[in-house]
Amino acid sequence: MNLKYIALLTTLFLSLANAIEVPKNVFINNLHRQLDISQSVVRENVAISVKAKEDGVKFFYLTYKQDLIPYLSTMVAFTKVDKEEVLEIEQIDLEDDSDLAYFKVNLEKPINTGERVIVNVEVSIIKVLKPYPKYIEQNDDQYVLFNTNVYYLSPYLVSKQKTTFKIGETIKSYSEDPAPVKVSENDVYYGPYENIEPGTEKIVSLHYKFKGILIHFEKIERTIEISHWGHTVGFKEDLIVHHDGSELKNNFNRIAFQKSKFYTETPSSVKDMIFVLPPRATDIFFVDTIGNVSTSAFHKDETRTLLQVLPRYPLFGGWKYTWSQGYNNPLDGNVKYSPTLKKYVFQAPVLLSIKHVPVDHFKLNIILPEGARNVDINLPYSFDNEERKMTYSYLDTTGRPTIVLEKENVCDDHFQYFQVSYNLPFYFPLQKPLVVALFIFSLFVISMIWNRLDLSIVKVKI
Amino acid sequence: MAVSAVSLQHLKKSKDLLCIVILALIAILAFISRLLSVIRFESVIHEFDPWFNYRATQYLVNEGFYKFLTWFDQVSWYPLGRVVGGTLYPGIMITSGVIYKVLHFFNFNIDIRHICVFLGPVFSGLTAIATYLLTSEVCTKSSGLFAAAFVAIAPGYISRSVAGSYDNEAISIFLLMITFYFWVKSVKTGSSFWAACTALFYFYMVSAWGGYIFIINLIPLHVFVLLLMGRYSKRLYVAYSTFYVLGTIGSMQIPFVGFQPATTAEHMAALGTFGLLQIVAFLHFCRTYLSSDSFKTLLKRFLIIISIIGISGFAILQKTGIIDPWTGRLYSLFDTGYAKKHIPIIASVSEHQPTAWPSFFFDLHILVPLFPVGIYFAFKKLTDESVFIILYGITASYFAGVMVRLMLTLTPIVCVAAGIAMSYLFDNFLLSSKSKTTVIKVEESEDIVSSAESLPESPASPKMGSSPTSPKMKSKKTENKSSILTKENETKDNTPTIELKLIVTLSMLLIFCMYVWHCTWVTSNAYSSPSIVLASRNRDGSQHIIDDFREAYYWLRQNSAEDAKIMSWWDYGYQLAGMTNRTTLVDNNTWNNTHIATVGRMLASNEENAYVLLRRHDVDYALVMFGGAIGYSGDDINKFLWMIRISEGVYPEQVKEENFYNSRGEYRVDDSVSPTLRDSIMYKMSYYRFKDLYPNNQAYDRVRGTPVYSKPIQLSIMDEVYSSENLLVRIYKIKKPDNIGRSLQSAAIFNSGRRRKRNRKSRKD
Repeated sequence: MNLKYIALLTTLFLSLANAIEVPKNVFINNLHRQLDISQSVVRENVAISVKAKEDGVKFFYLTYKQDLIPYLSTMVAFTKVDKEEVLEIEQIDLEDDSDLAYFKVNLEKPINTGERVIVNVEVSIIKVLKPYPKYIEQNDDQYVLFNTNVYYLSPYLVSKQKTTFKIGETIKSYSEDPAPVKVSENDVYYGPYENIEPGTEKIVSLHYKFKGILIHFEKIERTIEISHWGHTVGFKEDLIVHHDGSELKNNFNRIAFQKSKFYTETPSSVKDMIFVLPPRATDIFFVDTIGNVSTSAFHKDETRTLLQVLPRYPLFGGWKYTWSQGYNNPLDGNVKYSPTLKKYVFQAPVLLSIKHVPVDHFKLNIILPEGARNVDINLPYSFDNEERKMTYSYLDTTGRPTIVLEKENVCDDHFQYFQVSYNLPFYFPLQKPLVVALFIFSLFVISMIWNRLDLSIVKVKI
Repeated sequence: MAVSAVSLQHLKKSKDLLCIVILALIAILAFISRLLSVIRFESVIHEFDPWFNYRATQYLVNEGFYKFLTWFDQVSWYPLGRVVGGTLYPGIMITSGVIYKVLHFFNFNIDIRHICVFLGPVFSGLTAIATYLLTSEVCTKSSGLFAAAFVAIAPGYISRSVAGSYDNEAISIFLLMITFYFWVKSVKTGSSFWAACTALFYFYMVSAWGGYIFIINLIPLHVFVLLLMGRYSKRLYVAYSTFYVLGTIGSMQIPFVGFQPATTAEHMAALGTFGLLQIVAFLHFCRTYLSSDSFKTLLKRFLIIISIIGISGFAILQKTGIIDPWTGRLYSLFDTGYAKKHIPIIASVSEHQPTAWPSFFFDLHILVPLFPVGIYFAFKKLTDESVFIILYGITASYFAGVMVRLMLTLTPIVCVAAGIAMSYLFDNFLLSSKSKTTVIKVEESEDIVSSAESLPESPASPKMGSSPTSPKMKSKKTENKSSILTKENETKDNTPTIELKLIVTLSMLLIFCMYVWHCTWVTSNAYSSPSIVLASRNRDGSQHIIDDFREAYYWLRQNSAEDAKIMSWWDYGYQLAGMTNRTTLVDNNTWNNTHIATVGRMLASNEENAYVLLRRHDVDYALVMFGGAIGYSGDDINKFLWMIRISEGVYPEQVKEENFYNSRGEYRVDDSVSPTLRDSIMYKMSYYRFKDLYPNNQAYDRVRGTPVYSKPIQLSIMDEVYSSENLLVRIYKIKKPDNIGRSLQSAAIFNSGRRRKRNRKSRKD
């Protein structure tokens, strides 16, 4: 055991030695860290008051544990003065395997000695809530465990820090060390702590009843097809959902489940998911690999359409479900001709999903009309992978330009709009009718030739 | 008769156009009337066998043709596996595959499922056309239109070709009719081209359905009967020789058929007839050198000797085993009791039962009385073709009487015969120019059937009179006969008065309306249910869908290990493979009776014995259908006696049917249940926890209509992991062996002692 620790310590030391040199030109004189852990997307809001020790400090660093990086979904920094203006954050590439990841935050304007600037860093972290206990009974509540470093991991000295956890439900247990700890209603307050050395760690655990739904999408593939001929925009999503909650101790008991409908709930299960579709959504479908799912329902009013997705079976911990859903929307609400750009502009949300549910892998296919040219796309944030290709569909000859975008670790902060602009060639309205006409014409020609061909060996006289 | 040549030609042209339009309408009608299940439910594959065909088609489309032909399916018949490529009729899959490829070549990205779903209706439209061709070849064009209209909506055919019923039969009836059309045509013309067409479509048929045996026996029978009737002709010789040689070579290309045409008894009649025809041809060649009297005696003796030699030679070959004996399924065609005695697995399938009389009416309606009329007319105008119709009619009606399933082969010929009958009837009762008013009425009252009947008839009238000008060359005999017929017609024409004509026409029309109404009703009520989705009505009249099968299958698909093995009765094998994508022990391809009997034995055994068998077969999940909660009568408890019978056939020591009856000899599930039944895992899996659903120990089985066994059921070798919403499908996971080597029962008893205490505690809480 001791050996193991020694080995661990040495690697830690080595990795720290290899890590980048952080100039100690600033320190953090005050820090307030708020963590909302009531939903499966954990939101961390850190208000950092950075004080310069030198003149002309242009940037400072944030550090995160390397093993937390795969769970980071979004990271935004802004100064309190101007919330609209977002600060530039760049991740520092490290050649060696360090257990820390560094993010460089570029300040708006350099600060001088004694000056301070308050920077808000908003981070959403996904899939860090662990169901505990691992196995529960069918009618039991869902409890989760959340572990984190109570101190804000920083390469700088932190003079003063507070940490707040928002839970929103009854708390079962929490670490009482390091003091002071205070619990009020559904929140837990740690701190204030003073003069924390860089790299100090103290893991605290919170065990509490979870009020949200503990699921995540393993994959969402969204396909948007713009059709000027059909005057519609077709939206389609293929989804794989996984329930991350505690698994059933004694397997699923249908009879108990049916009876529990009348007097209790099965709080850990997910029976339905509600998607908000645009108001004029038509031709809504909800199918899975083996056909239409007859349990779904949708509700329509003037501002929106609600699609209630009821999976074939209620989802319990560890269970999985896959399906496809989609709808059509009229073209005129989505695509507009911009006279200034002299282009068609299409705008739509990047993703349609449920709030507080993270997505591991997201893929967006945008299929433009056949012959679209000068395609430009304006994305609200960067994607991991972008690809252009051609798709062929009904009556296509030259193919439809398609943009394929991929991104990992998506959450509801990514529910933003994107724009695609394109030109259509002048012959666009003629292309498809011409193809059909040519095809039929060639059929006639073939039949003309066929009728004039005489392949008989012996002429039969009638 | 004073119609000028120009207007006659004009008339003929417009008649042809009408014919095409009517036929197209009939084909569209045939397509549309089969879509009820899609409209009511969805575009989904129905029942059991279609699920396999669908899965195989997906494999073909995804993996390519050569991989498909050499496909060894590891997920079925665990642990044996199945050589799929060599044990199926690939016709239907290749048809859909080709359609898929063609459509995708033209960028029509239609899902393969939709192609599979709509293949049956599309081919039904083609069947209507093929029936028209056959009937008009045998009789007149108008009778052809009648027959096409009949077959388009005949329930006996709709039963196997509704949208979603993606089975071999869906395309085979079309192939059957088109093959027969080409056969009749080749006999009529003596052209080897048409005979080659016959062989080509015969090859297609062989690739599509095991029912090709019917063709390869019916055509030789036709030839044989024609020979007996002294109707040998060079036309017949050319037609049959070409067909047999090409067709047999073609059929041997199908891996599943292989060398069967040379070795099995079913194909011997064709071979014998082929030989006989050569001899007869030789005799006819001799006749040119012999006097007619000596030739006749020579022919008769020769025939008798040859047939005796042929039959005895065949019998010897069969005895010595060079030719395989008849298969059990074929035996059961001649002895209806055979299957029940010797092969219960065939008898257990409801579609292999002898047909009940009402189902003839149910499936054919007015065609039942019209059928003999048509056969009568075929007798009256005895040509080579009408002999074929008669033979087809007689054999098919026998087979339809033996097996419900073969109603399908009877339906087209009944339609053909009825078409002939109706056409004769209307020829006589709609003919006169005086009755134009009725013609108009007819047109107004009904669109398709009536237009099929009335319109081509009026132009047909001059043709009847001017039969010598008809372009077709007919043999002298037929010409004589037809002239006699026309004379008869003319004499009859004079007798019926206008009132009589009106009465007959209107009453026939009424009957047609009833036929259409009946067909629609039967299609909508009996044949449009996908059977994987059940529909019932709520109290307010709205539709309530019971989707338990897919619910449970999908649960398994998503939440079980990918290599999980599922044990269920063979009925659900194809559905399980198609919808859950997991390994099954047995499925609807009942090629290994022993394996099926082993599964039956597992289900019929008590827990201790079943566990040994389940472990031995690596079973992870066991699945039963239980209808007791909602009253679904096709569940496993009702099928259980068949399972017992099948396994008793293989394991007479271990499974005994009488043990499953109680002391009064009844098959009961209530308190008087026999102990063996009560201990069987089938009973336990079906009723496990069922009592909890009802308060105060009043569990009531809605299928059997009885209360259930009142003591609680202990199930220790498996855990219930999932049951569908209405308890229709229950899935159990087989437990792993106990860690410390106890039997699972004793472990369960030990645990239940502890658990009971805990339960009490929790109740106090």
